[in-house]
Amino acid sequence: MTALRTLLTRPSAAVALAVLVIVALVVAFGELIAPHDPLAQNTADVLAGPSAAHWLGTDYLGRDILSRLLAGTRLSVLAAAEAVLVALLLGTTAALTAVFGPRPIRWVVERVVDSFMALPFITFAVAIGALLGNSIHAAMVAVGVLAAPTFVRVVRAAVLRTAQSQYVEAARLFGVPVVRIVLTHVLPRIVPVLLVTSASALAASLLVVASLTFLGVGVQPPAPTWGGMLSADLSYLALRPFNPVAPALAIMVTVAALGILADRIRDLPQTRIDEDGESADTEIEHAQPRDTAASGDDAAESVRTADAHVPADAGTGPEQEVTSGSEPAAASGAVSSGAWGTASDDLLTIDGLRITAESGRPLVRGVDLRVPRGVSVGILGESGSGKTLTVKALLGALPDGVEVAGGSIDFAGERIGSVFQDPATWFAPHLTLGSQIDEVLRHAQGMTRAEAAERRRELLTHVGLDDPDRVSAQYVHELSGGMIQRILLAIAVSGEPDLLVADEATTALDVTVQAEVLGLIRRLRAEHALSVLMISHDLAVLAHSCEYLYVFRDGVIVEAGPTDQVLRAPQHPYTRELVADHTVFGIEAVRRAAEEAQREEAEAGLAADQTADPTTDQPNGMTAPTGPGKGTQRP
Amino acid sequence: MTSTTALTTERFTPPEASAPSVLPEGSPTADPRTGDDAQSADALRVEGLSVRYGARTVLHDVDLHVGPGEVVGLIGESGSGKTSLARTVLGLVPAAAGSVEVAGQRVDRFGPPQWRRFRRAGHAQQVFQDPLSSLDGRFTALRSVLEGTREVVRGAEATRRAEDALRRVGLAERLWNRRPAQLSGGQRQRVAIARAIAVDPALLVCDEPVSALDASSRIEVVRALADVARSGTGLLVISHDLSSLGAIADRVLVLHNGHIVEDGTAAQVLTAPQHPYTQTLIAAIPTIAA
Repeated sequence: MTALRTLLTRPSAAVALAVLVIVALVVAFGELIAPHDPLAQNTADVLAGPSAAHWLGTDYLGRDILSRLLAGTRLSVLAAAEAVLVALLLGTTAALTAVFGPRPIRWVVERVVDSFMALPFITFAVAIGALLGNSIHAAMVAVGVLAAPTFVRVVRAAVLRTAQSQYVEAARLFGVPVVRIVLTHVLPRIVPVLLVTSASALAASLLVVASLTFLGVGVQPPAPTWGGMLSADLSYLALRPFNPVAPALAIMVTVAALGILADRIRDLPQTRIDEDGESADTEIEHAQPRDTAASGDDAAESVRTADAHVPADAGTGPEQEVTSGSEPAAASGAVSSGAWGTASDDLLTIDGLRITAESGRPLVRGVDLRVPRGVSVGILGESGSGKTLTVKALLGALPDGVEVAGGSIDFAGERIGSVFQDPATWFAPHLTLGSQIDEVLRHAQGMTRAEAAERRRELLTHVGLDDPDRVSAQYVHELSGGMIQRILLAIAVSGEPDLLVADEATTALDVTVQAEVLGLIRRLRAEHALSVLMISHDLAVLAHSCEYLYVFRDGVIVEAGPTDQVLRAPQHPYTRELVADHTVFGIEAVRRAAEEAQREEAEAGLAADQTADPTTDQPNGMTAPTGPGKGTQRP
Repeated sequence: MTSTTALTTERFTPPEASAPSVLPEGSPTADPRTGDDAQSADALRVEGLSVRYGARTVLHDVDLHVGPGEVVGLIGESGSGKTSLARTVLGLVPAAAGSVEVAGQRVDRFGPPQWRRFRRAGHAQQVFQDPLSSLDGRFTALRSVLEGTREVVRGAEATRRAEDALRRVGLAERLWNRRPAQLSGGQRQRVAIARAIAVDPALLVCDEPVSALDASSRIEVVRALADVARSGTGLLVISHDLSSLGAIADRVLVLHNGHIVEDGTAAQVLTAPQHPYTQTLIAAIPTIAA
């Protein structure tokens, strides 16, 4: 239903659908609404022009053209639909068999499909139609059989995508029979594909019916059809040149409407059809309720963190209470300018940055952030927290439909180098890495071919690739993720940037490789006197690489401060939770547990005390917040 | 911080205190199976297993066993063979040599009909990495879970088991009719766990069960898994990093280039790794300790 509503917002789709509804009504009631008997001849009034009695005139036997057009719609459209129905049923069954069937049957299906592709439609249909007693229905069934392979091709691809999905694999692990897997998981998902293919096929089929009836195949003369009318009118073209216009227009408009509708259905976002409109903006969607569910303390915490950046805003009642009630190591003092030098040292200053989606939904809601020269700053946050959008705004690379709604970004340097997640996607697969690196050097830095090649060797050696010529001659799929990220880092620093942005640069890598790449970033930072802005969802990655941390959540900064302070005394409940996550699951936790176990052996009865510890009753089992802020529970 | 330490040792706390109490000991569902062979057998016993893709051997002579209620962590980086091992155990990849016994049955010798029967008995299940891919986006939480239970039992009993499983993972009843897109990452993964445990498997293979989740969701999922183990199901948890394993794994195996290079308790492997590769691996894991 949601899909239909989305479809109707497109004017062309709405018009096409309206045309098709009218055609369908005419199919059903055409003979009833026809002003005259479509078969009634009137030899006194042949080939008359349009008049009050005959709006579209009369044909060579004096029959009313409008009535024949209306009455002929049914046969023309239903015959076309017959072929599509046959093709749809046959094609879908064959496509499903070709994916889910036993191997020998799959082989047979594929060969049959291939050989059918080679047969010509109309010739075959004419032959079948003639063989089976000049019946349009037999001819169209034949057309349907011949059109089925086209369906198989398209539908099979869609079926295969679903068949390889994990939820189908999960169902198979339960031993769910194939037929039920097809009915519950596969068929609902290929409906859009079936709709699109059927609509285009119906358009083609209408033309086939028109051609066949034009040729006189399958329909006996007095019965009206669009193609038959065209054929009759053509004989008298010299006398009544406008008579064929009506049937021709009927064919054209119906075919065009089907084509447009098919295109518009195809244009619908796939997920909307799959999940009936629920999946768009998922991350942001469920971020909302979490935010509204945040307790009052939570909100107060945000205020407090915010006023660390804008001291002028400080002094609201509740905020004062919270600060005074919290532990001595409050963030406010340390975050303000003192520890961070003066603002004139700042390489990057972001003030009150707001980013909104086209729909007006706020994605980043007032972010203040600064990167002093020579300092490495980390941004920590989950997906949907606004961390990547903030960085994209800085790089001027916001995705379509998302825009900066307010605030300022002030970059005092000249160049920014950047590396991102999934390094392999940044190289073209069909070109050698060397040629792509050279291209960047030549275009971005105006080097000659020879200079670029020389510089490339230097750079690759610089990032620890010992055989630069060998790497240069390779393609992206031949290298590991870690090596590719090294190359991207080499390119990023090649222009001697002031700031290096690393957005989840090690996320897709194995831990040992991650450690190497992080080490490389640290080395490059020292050698090039870089400022670094590192974005990650992993606190531990940032803890080792950054002197200063900003914690993003739901588009706002909930905590900011020197790294050791954030780790030692996190202020915001959310940050506490992230730190606790590491102390609960990390290696430290296991080590501590091992020590604890030893101590427990020594001191009997300790366990009883611990179970009595009220903090273990926290939902989620989190550490009890030490300050007055108690609620971090999500819904 | 002392409370965190307490928490670490108190590992098996129910996921949500507000949810109906998690499976009391001795409740009907705590008794995993009625089958006599499954009662005493290991959840998984792999001996001398080798797996080949064409000429390439991805697993060499692997021995591994998971007892009932035991949580075994299998750590390996990409290309180590950990996913091939999981897929072989589940019958999705054939074994080239060695034996694989799940719930007391030699599954490596199974043909398609035996696999069908074995699967419909629900002996071995899997929890995938990303619940957004492993759950059908069109299905509600309850319907996803029902899909499995309906293969094992009929009618009202299937519904009862499905609801029971959703309660066991601590998913609040008001979320049962939501589709994956309307749930948080942790809730989704708990639905996937409920789907797997609703058929009372002897073995639950978890392939990177938390690495697609945000940190805040990880805790709830790890707790749900720990609870599953407590009810008698053996867990084989596969991961590329140790950070989430340490909290629940009884034993940890390290897989490197198709060989198991380390086998010990989580504490042993994490605090005193023997093999040089494990030492590198553990040194590489970022921590928040100064």
